[in-house]
Amino acid sequence: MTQLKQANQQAFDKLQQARPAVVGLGLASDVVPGMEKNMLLHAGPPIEWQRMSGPLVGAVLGAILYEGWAQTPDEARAFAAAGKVRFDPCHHHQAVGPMAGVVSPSMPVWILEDENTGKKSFATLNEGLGKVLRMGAFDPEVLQRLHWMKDVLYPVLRGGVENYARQNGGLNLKNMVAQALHMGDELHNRNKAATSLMIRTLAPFLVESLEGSNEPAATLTNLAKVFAFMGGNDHFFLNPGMAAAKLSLQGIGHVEGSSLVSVMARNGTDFGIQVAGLGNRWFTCPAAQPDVLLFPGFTPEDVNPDIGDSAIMETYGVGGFALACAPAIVQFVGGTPQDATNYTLEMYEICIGENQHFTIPSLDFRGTPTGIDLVKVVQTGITPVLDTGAAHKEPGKGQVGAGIVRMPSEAFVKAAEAFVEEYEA
Amino acid sequence: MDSKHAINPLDALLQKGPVVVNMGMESFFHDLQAQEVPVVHVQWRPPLATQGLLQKLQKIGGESS
Amino acid sequence: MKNMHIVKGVYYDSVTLMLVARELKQIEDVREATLNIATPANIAIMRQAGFEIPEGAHSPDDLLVGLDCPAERQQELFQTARTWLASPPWKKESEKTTYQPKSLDGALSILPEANLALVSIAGRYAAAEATKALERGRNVMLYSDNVSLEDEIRLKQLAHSRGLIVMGPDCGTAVINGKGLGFSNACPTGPVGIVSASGTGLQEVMVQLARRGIGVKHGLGTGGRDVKTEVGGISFVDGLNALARDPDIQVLVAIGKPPAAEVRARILATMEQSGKAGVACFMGDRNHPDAPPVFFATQLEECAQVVSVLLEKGKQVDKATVKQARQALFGSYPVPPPHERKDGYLKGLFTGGTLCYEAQFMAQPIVGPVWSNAPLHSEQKVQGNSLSMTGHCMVDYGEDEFTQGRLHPMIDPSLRTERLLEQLKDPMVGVILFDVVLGYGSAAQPVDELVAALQQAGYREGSSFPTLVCSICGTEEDPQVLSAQRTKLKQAGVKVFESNAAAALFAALLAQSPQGKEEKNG
Repeated sequence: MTQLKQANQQAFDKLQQARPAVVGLGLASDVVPGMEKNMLLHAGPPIEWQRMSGPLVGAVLGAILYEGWAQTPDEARAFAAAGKVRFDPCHHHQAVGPMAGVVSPSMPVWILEDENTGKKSFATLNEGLGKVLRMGAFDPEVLQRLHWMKDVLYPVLRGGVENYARQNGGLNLKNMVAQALHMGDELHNRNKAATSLMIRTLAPFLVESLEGSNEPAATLTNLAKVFAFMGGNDHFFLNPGMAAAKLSLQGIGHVEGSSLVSVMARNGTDFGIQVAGLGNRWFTCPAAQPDVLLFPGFTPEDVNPDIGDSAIMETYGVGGFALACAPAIVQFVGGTPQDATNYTLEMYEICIGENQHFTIPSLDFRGTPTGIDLVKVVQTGITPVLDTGAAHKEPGKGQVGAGIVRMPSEAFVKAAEAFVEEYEA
Repeated sequence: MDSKHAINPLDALLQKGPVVVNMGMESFFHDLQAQEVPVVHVQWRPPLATQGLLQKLQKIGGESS
Repeated sequence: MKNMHIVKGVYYDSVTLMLVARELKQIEDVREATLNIATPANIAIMRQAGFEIPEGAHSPDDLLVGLDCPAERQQELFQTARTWLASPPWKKESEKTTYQPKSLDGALSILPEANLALVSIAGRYAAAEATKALERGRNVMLYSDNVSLEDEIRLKQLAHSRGLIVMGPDCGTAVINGKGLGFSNACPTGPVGIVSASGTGLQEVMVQLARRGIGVKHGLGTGGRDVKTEVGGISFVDGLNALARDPDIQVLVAIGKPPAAEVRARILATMEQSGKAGVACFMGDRNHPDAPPVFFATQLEECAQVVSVLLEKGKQVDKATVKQARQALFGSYPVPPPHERKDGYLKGLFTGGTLCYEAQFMAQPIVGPVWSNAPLHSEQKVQGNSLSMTGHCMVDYGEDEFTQGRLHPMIDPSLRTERLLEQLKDPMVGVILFDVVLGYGSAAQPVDELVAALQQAGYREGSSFPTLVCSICGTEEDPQVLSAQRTKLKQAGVKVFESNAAAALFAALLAQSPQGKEEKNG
């Protein structure tokens, strides 16, 4: 085997060995490494305030108001423009966030641990659909919901999760992902089965945790609201799912000579990747303009460039790469079930291997295409496909559509140039 | 050649008849299908990198990956 | 209204883009449709055509769609273009769904028994893909041209070292075990094996053999440069040796333009030592005496005739018998009666390059120097624009200057048809000679447009129009059906001959000594 193949096999094996599990919840300022008092994390590669697109701007304003750093949107805008906020990618703090992906110090986050390496990862709780912070909405209703999530959802959920973890060890997300793939989810745009599995698993422990709890929010009424909230959000699993992916890919670490793509992420302006053999260097280019099925009333001019850390799902070997598991999604994104399968088949051509745990029933339980190989991408001209949502370019207007988005090639070319420079001699 | 007894791949092609990977014009694919020749058509697209970069990548990859 | 739409981040090959543009132009409201990858050259061309393209960086990831149609239909027709690109209307339903791989390795994982890669992608990428195929132990047919000489040599040395063959670059035709690759005719299989440096040369010889009831088991192409000194005939000799090893083959045939001296020697030595009879057809060559078991021909039908005698009489046949067979063939070629002779120039318009070459070779002894964009001698190269023809002239419409952004004339003969109709109106023209090539890869209706135009123009044989002479390279089993095309042409008043050589001879005799017309240019 050549050195490249060897290095990639090593990286691939490390990825397969990860065992991400939910072990608790906490507040970002308490548990997210490197989180500072005036810091806001965001999706995608590093970006300055001036270059942020609508959804991210809106999410930043909302977060500033949520933290109480300003009282009105105008004040919040001035606050940000004055450089009073430190911005940093979630990825630099072992975290990931969908769409705008903004994490502020007072936000509750999932805490995941890799039972293989002991390392951790974090993600916020998913707010649901419609007018939400991650789409750039920041009106009072959004802030109200964020506060409810911190005051009620968080403590109740935390009690249940910790109760579960005490009795069973961490909540095994890898198994949940594997099962959900057999139930019609692909874990990026479709998380209904995974969400259901999670709620089902936690339910008795949530109920049990009320008994003898010191937490004032831990009441039956609130528990009912928590169940209603989670049950009403088909994408509740997305955030911990993304954190599981992040944790697993993070666990690869630096592998000398490997061309495995370890991160793909977008901030609404730029698309960025990282490579296992090139450490934590970002390789960026303009984000793709999603060309997707639009909800009624929206036109192509309304669509914001691609945004979110959720590309980590495809990097992990699910999402768009597992479309063959989710034929139902085609009603949502256009096309036929065969189209869905064809996307998966295409991704095999740029991956290092086939997933040992995530399998596709309709392809005779073949493992999902896993471990994007930078070299294959550059040689074949095939860039990864994502199955993702598209946001309105104006803050707070929400989601305008969903579908298949092809990642832009420039970032891969830049990474290939750096790879050659690094490993030529 | 692995062994003295292994048949020369050109001779094997002539003996067995063509089993084809078609890269490029799709009409060739249709014509081969019409003659019942086993054929798969590649929806080929150009590489992302320049020839120079590809060659260097190939060198790093050792034998073609 | 001319409007330009951009689609980002997609790739479609140039043939698909052209075919979609063609489909769009069939729509009544569409005056112009053009689809191009956003290269600087294409941007310039589209701007010149009146499409506004915003300044700023455009990448080859971008597709430019230019539509000239009423403003209110722009969006709708643009969407139609998108739909057709993704799901071409001419594709069968089942094809639209089956997965088609996007890389050679992807294809090999689906079809691991593949033993040949047929490569027809753009020349600058073709060598790399061919190399990959060879490294994975597969033979290559390289239809692509614009592959450098260095790459060709490297590929063929690699192939040779692995017991593989590279057919090409610029190889348009091959037949293996009776199955046609690229442009080929439906012919019987039989005890003949051919190696050819020329695509239409191979087609014509196979068709002429088929007319004589003789089948061909394998016809290997080598591309035109293989027999030059630099390449040394690697594919040619490896091919001949492989055919020599095939027990089903009794006669070997070599076809091409006269090779470099040392390559010729290697080819002839290979044929002599093969233990089989052989025919070397070096077109337009000076005459060589037969040297049994190897016999010579300089024309394509003649080659088939000699093969026929060898099969009938065996490889020990004496030279006199073969000579007689040749004479019989030449004697059988129709000769026009004097009153049919025409004042005016002979113009040839060809889709097959070798047929154009052979026609010049046939005509030259009779009418004197013939101008061409692919001439017998470089002094006879048409000056300036190939389309302005001076004196006796024959044009190969498959040459590069006619195929930029256009399908090969064997696939789409509309340009040749257009030019031919122009010649029809030229009072200086006496005889028009052309080829019709049938078979896989060629146009489904190769002569309909021409025949309709002739009818409209009121063309009749024996009128003051130039005389139309043609040959059809095709068989009854071809998709276009030889007899059907022959009938259409004859009914339109065209004189149809059974071989390119016969047609060229007849046309030259018709145009011999143009009385009273001085050649104005050279």
